[in-house]
Amino acid sequence: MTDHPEGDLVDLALGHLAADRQSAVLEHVDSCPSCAELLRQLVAGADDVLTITPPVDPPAGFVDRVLGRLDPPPTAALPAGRAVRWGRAASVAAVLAVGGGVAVATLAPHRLEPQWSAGPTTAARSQTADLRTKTARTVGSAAFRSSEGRTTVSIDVLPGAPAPWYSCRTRLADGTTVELGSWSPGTTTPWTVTLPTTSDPRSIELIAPSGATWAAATFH
Amino acid sequence: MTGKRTGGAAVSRRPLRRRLGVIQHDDWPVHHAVGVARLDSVSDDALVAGMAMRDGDAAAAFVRRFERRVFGLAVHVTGQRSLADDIAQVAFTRAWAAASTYDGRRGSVANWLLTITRNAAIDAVRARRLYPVDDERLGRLVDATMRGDGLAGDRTADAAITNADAAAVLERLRALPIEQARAVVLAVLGGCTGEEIAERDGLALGTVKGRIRLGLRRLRTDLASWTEDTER
Repeated sequence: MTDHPEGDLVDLALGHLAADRQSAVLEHVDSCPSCAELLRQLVAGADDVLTITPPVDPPAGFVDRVLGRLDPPPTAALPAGRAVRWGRAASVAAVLAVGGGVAVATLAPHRLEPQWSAGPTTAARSQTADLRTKTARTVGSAAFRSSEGRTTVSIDVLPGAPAPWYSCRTRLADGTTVELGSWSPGTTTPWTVTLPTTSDPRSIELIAPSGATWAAATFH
Repeated sequence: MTGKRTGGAAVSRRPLRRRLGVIQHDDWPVHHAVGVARLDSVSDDALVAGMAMRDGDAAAAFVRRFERRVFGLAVHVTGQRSLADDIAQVAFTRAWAAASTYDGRRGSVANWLLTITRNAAIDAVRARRLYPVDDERLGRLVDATMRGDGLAGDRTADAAITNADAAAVLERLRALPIEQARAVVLAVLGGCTGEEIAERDGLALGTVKGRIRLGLRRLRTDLASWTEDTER
């Protein structure tokens, strides 16, 4: 291919280029800086236009139907002192099996409803919260998942963190504080740490080299 | 009028850094709403991080935040509410499955999700080969887009950033020659091929592709300058 395939680049950027043309066009793009730049601009421009998609109200029950199709199925956050599960009829059996006879109400098929149960459960728990500075600016996010005696903490920071590295620590529900280690946001994103504890994190702090807390996430 | 779509797999695309979202308060069960409500003010990136951890509340909040825009895009591309319903569900389930691979440095959550949606919608339409292109529907889409309907009702925590970015896109789109703007909207948001637009408007295919190319390129160039100015 010697000429610049500008028409094909438009189709490629919009997802309409026939499969039997793609390899030839991409091969040309790899060897032609001007076409590579044009393709980059076309793709980026199309992405920009997507941001102004006129919204349309979906049919009633849309959220329920989506959540009913998620695979793997979601876990749920647990309010203090009680265990709550969200699930379809199919997940009730799993609750009974895992919880060792915890009483749950019957669920209508394909309908997500809260299921309150008393007593211990080994169900996985997870929560997500923004990492915010003292001025309430969101600079990233933190999440945890507790399951089978282990808690995994995940921290992600948006580009632009002022310090090259941070010390991370978490305060657990049992009142203890655990140092998670040091992390450089530019190296590994997100940063994930697994703790050998059954106590859920209540907060996570990122502490700058100066010793000041730069950002914190609070779980409810 | 009917248009024939060419075959071929969807192209992998990386979105730009743009933020948007929609929160809709509906009849979601009360107890669940408590858990989801605490996430209504959480950033888009945090919700995806929560989904990667298989947080059901994060998933519910995520779907609520984007359902109108995702369903809207699916409707615009397919022209059928029933098909769009299924495609929008597929888009969310794909996002759920791929949440752990999302990289915020490569683009916004909204663009990531809408690109998934658009690709799913185009694949579904392409699988049907011959597809009626509804002139009236496409006309309404162009009107609604140029009117700025996509900016309405945005109540996320990132609303200020979101609206600034989306408004900037709309401003640049409006600044294009109208024939370029219309070709861009029909191609990107309507999912139309160049052939379909050419047939619909009675134009040569090269003319249509030229309009799309010039329109998208100028839009991107202008927005890149705007982004540099605002971040300086």
